Amino acid sequence: MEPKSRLNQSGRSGIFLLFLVALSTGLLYGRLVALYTPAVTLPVTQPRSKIADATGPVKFSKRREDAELFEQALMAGLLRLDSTGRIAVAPADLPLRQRWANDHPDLLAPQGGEPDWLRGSWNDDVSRLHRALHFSAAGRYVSQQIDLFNARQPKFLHLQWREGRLIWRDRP
Amino acid sequence: MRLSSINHQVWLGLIWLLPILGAGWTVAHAPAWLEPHRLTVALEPGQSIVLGRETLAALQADGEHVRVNRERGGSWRLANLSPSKQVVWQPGGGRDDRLTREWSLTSGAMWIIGAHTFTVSMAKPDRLILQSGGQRWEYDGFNLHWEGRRLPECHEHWRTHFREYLGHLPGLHRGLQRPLRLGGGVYCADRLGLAGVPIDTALLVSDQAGFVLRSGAAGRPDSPPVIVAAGTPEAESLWQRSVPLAVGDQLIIGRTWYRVARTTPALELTVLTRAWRWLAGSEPPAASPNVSVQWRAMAWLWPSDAESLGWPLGLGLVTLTLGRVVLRGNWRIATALGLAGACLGLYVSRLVAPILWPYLLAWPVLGIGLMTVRSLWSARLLATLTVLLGIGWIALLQLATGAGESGWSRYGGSSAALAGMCGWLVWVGWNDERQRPLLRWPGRCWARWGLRLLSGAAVGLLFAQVVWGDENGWCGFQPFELTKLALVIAAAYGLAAGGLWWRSSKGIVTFLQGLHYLSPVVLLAMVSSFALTFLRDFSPLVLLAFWMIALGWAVARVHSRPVWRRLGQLTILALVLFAVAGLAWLRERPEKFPLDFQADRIRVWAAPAQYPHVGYQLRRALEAIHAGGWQGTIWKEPVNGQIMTVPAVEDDFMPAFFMSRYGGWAALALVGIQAMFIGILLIIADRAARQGRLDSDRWATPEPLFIYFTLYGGAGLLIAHFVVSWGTNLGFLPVMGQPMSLLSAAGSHLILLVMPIVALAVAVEEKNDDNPP
Repeated sequence: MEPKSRLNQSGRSGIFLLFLVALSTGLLYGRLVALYTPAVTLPVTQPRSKIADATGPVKFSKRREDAELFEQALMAGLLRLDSTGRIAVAPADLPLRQRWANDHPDLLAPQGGEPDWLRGSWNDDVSRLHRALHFSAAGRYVSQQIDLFNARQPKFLHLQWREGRLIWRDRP
Repeated sequence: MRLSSINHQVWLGLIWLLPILGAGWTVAHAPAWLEPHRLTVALEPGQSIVLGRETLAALQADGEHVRVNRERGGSWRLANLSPSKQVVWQPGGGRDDRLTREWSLTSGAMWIIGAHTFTVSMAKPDRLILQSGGQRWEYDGFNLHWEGRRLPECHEHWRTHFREYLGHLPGLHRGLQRPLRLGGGVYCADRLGLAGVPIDTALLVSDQAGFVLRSGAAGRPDSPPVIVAAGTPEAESLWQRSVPLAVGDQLIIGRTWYRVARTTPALELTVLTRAWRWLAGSEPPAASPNVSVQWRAMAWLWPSDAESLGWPLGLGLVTLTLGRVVLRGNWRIATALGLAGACLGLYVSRLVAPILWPYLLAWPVLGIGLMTVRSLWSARLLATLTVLLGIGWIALLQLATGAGESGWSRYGGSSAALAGMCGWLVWVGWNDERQRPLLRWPGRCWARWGLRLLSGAAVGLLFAQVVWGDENGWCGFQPFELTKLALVIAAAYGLAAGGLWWRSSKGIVTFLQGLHYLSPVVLLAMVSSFALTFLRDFSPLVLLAFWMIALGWAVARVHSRPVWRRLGQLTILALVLFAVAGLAWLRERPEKFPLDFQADRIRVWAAPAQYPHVGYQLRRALEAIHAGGWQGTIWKEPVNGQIMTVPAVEDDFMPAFFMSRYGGWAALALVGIQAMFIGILLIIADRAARQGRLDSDRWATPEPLFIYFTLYGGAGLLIAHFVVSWGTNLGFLPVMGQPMSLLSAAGSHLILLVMPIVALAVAVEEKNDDNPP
């Protein structure tokens, strides 16, 4: 009965192929229907309930990442207001400076007129914030906004003064 | 006439023709672009002009990017005005990339950075000695010495030490040197801290003559000044330095490439590639009265200049001669070798080659393959491969023709050229084999040494990527793809040649058989470490997880004991269900992700709206897919539009381009054909395992099992690429960074993983067709 066996194998192969095609197209169809449905839109940014303590563990927040990063960096002392009202950003090599201050203090370059960035708290969370500030897409955006703020650009900035303190506004 | 009565080969011919029709429609439907061919700048001696995005026809250039001067003597100079973008200058068109903001150090020369003055005491390729403020600094290309004291490494890392160790080997020193970074607050092995100067304001980089001072990533015209040739009448700011222009020099401004074609009576620049296109009939961008632009139509078939023919014709003729004269092959073999050489030449000159050439050279070999194979299943596999490759190349052709910038054709062109080269080489091997006994398997000893060679080459190339390359590969190629192939083959060999450990005897025999698994385990450990420590990405691990699940399933299916067979299959199914459930849970509670590594990606995946920057790529892709809808935008808009702003649209986000332009229905058809392709591979694997089977768990030779495990492992990796890529683009998986097989422009993936797996499957089926079970 060899021919029958072959016929069965061929039939099983066809069913197997049909199953794979139906499974893959079905799964993709479901996903596409969900994506094309107008009701399913990206969630609107919600007001932030509580600003996390910058020196404590990084919490999840409902705010936009740039607002979150700016406010946490401000609280952690990685952004400072100078006497002229400009915002100074912690230098990119601050983690290395912190390490060198402990391990090789004789190999720290003289500070000149720079702010003393080594003063202030430094832990894993601040280090993570610093990395995000300098090396993430959100950090680059925050830096651009700070440059515009320092240059007193007239167009809409996320950074604005309110009641004597700097805030980040998501919308004009 | 009934459909079933149509000849099998006619069906295959129709399938082969279908993508040609699609490509023809794409060409006919393409926008009537004009591309700049020559820019002519006419200035009187002593005059200068500022050129930017419009006048240079360079989409990525600044509005005012360069200043061109014509000096009193009639010579031309160019300076970079952009605050943040560099201008690359290649004197004589060579490979020596130099920046306009660069200054060669010579003994006795002085420069100032911020408030610090440096004097060069010595500048040789391996030794630079500087004096500043009474202090002596010495740099050898690896380490900075301060007053004779070697400074500690800035960041201790095995890669740095490994590079330094290799740098001491003869001939490797120059290629491994690192720049000395100026600025910042510390002194260490490759940083010279300077008060009031941000890190990376400038760099000291070694070149053939010694060292050059170059503007760094943090260098801006408004940052602390850098004055070169201080104390001499030639003193000037590094940011305002200019370079002389001579015939043959090449420039890259923005991302657009130019070559200086003439300097008298006017400066004439030939635009090589990546220039701003303009629709015929519309008003071109406003140009200065001193600048004229010569426009031309897109080069579909006829090259714009003879130079673009050099590589394809040269390599084609060399390999044709090699085949005919040296290898004494017949005309068929020599012609196929010549075409393979021409494909390689097109790959080399992919930026300037006519758009359709790679496709026209590659597509016939698929047709020849379809008409040549005799086995039904290999014909089916090749037919699905043809359709998938056709869909991919049509999409890449659309990517190139619908883009507002020239040069996008390099993605589809390089993919087609590489596939064509492989196809023609396989055809050479096939014809050569036809004159001898067909498709002999190598002996056990040859197989073992071949596997060692493959694994060694893969690991060596992975090391080369770690030392010289970056996460995008090394020399335009991804060694990781070869490592995946080596892993698939090593594991299959271990499982097949290990004698199927589950039915072996105990004691030392089991131990010796276990050694067969050493090679794949070592490879797996290396690949995992590479992904975690070098790529810092877990998507390769997801691919490996798919592969292991596929291999586990394959092992369970051929286990000799029914209990273990069932238990193994149930365990695999449970693992898959567990992974899916875990993923769904993680999406609801991303904050519970236990690792710090890649936690950002998990958060972006769970709530993309809160991450407009980190999640930019995914958001733009989802918006484009949503805008495309079920029908896609291609039918109404020949220009690609906003989808081109998605980063890596030609690679990881090619499915988003496909769904946006061709719509959801086309995506469903694509995923269906992909499923069929995988299914046929698995069926061929099953058919291979049935060959030489003596009873339910014994085989006459290990070859059938080796093929079975290789094809299952290969299919597992291809499934992984398909799933991960769909998941990335549609946002249902928190991973990124993997191309979609046969759709994305991923030449290494195509020729190092997909093609070998398909070639093995076809060869097995053809052999089985000659020797039916």
